[in-house]
Amino acid sequence: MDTAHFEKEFPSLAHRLGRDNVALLLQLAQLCELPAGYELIEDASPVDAFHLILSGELRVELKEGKQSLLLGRLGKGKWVGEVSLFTGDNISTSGVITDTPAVVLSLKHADFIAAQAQHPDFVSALTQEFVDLMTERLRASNQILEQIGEHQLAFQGSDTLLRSDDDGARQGWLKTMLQKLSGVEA
Amino acid sequence: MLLKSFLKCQSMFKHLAEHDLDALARAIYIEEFPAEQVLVEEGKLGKVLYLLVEGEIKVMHYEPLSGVLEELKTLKPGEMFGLLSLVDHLPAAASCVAHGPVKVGILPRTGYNFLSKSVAPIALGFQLAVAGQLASDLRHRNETLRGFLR
Repeated sequence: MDTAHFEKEFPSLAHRLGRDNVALLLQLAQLCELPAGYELIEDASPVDAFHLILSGELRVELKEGKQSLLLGRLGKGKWVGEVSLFTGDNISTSGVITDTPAVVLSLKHADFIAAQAQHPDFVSALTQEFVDLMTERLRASNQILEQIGEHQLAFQGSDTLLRSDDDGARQGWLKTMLQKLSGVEA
Repeated sequence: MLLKSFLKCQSMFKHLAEHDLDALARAIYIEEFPAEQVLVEEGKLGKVLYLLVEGEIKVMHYEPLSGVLEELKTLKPGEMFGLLSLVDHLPAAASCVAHGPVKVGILPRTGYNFLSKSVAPIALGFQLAVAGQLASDLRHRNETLRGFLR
């Protein structure tokens, strides 16, 4: 993919980064073609890169013991793997698996960190992108909390919900909440 | 305690050089507040960024139906709060209340805006710190919810 193609496909991100930084992103990152069923990020495991989805569909899921929960699906233009970069522990908060063949642009955390010295404006622009992204996710989760409150299912109420025999309602609430936190379209 | 020394001890600010820590410390002023002081009020537009230096802050969310404040999280020294309003210019999503006397560093919006938009080295170090705080907040939420699956 060249700079012009990237600008056409991702105009908003390209505008934020600027032409030189788009070129640098394409130079530093690796284009990866993934088959369907490929586990790009293993839940609760070390992550060494973040990825911009160029095409295809990936599912996001949470695992806890033998239980797993499908949170939703991500497509073109979405980022994955960036939260663990900034928490410092490089541990994923959910798993990401390709549902269809997909192409992602992968940038190693180490390369991003190394770029801070030579290309601070590039790192700054991407960091601002991620700050906005994480802010949106936190806002979205707050809105869900308020909606839950309106339905008498706020955190205190959710204790009741979680004790409830109605597993469908419990899983539905949890899924909605986690989708919002993961940046997945509901 | 010198604010610079405090900043230097926080891993979040590890990307800042000595002279940048000096500059950031000069941009932040320190204030002390008594117990129960509301520093960030839910529903109101925040005007400053806070850095907790001493004490504890409770993050609270008002539940309109029950009329009670639900505690979401307790902040420890080194954590920033009041961020969301500064990033997206929307009202605060939760209240931040002093749990006992607290000492906080305050960065006014003008300082935040400069640091969040500039590409100067000090700005980049600050942006990485902000991203670190938001990522930590997201992880905390996810872990809370993951616990519901157990």
